[in-house]
Amino acid sequence: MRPIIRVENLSKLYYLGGSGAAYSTLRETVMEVARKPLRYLRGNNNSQTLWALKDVNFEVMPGDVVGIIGRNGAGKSTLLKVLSRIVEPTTGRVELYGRVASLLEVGTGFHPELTGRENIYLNGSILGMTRQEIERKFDEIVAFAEVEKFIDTPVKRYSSGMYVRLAFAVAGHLEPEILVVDEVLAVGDAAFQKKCLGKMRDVASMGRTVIFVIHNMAAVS
Amino acid sequence: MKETAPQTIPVATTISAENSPAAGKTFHLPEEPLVVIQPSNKWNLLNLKDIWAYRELLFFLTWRDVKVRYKQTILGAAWAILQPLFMMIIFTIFFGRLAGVDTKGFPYPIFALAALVPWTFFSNTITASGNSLVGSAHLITKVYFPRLIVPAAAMMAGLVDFVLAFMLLVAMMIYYRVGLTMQVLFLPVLILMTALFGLGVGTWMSALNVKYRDVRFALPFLIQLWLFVSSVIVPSSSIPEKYRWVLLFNPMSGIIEGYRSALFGLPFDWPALSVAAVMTIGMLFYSVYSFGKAERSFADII
Repeated sequence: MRPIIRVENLSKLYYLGGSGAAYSTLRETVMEVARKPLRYLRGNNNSQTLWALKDVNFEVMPGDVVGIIGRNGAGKSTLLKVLSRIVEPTTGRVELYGRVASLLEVGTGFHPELTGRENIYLNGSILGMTRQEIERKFDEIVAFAEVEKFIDTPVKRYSSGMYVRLAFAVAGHLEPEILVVDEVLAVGDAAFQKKCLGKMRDVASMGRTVIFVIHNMAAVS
Repeated sequence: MKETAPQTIPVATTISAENSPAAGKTFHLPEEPLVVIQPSNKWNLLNLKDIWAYRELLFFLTWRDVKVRYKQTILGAAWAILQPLFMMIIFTIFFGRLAGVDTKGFPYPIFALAALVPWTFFSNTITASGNSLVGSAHLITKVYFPRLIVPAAAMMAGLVDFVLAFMLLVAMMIYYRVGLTMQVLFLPVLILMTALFGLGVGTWMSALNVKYRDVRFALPFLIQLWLFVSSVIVPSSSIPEKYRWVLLFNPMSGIIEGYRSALFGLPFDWPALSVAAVMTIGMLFYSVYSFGKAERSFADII
């Protein structure tokens, strides 16, 4: 059986502290050059580097549910970001044989001024759903989030619980071949968390490949 | 990042006999990977296929920008009209009676407005586009989509405002009884040039802004200076003949004069327009190229 994700020699290097790391103003860059002209010319001005990922190799088969656990700073989120094409790897190669949808955060792109209804469309589109898909699933999403009465009020008026439920409801109705999830389940109250886990299990049992990053071993089951 | 042509992936949802870890559902995997992620060492040309796939997102982001701009405001969309209108009034008061300004027989207000409406579109576009990437940092670090969509959406939102302001222009033209000629048909070309040039400059600025936040402060200042050299306040004929060639370096000057020619039936300045067209295309290519190169590190440094 062929893998749906293949990762070879993946590495990601970050520069710390130097002029490449944080954003700079022209003034800062000019000062750097003035103070250490030789260093700048040699291109060696970033003395501190961090390999967030180094030579990572693995394969994921279709239908696998993979949990990634590690201490803080181990590089889990970086790995997900590379898989989601948000950051580019320094070396290595990733082959994806299916469409990826990533949930690295709940409520990506939600705008506080827009209503719940408008945000469902916006968020759905950002996550990769087509407009037809969103329309088809609209009622399901609203029912899952339990915000029928509030669907036409601006989201800035929602309680944090409602906000999170709506955001997760949209995300939970994604139908990608590969789902990449980062610690998003650490939100909401216990009842809602159970609902979310249930949805995750549904997604996994439909044969989709899921890649998790979590800190809670119980969630893996 | 390199993408090969995606093949259709029929997802078999019927139970099949093949043993796979998940309850008998199977996937037919394509022969070639859908997406290959690797460090790109040659320059990234515009990935048009990706952008086409995300075209709906472009629409949604534009829609969001337009909607949000006027929420909780009283005047709402009227702001799109007030900006050029008030500038026209102020210009008429202060510059309307300048000696030696040749408005070719047209009243100064309409003369200025015909330039102010496209100018407002251009200046708002590059301001909005220039700040768009940094303003969408929360999206860029969490979700993948072709980043070019962000400044493009800002430009499209500006286009909506332009349409509204244009209605003001039409109203004024009726009021001043300006006769239309066939030259009006050239307007769509001019609008396209303005939009593309604004998109080019805005995209380039937005990529720069990610690395050097000075851009946010430099832009308003730059736009103010640019206004004075774009034949908005006074026509290019006010500049002495021997210096007029300098204006050719500013495509907006040619384009703005083109609007006046199209709307008022004045002769077109073809050399200026041709140079402007070439510079617009050049700017667009350059900005898309530099944007593509910079795009790889946006999420790292934004």
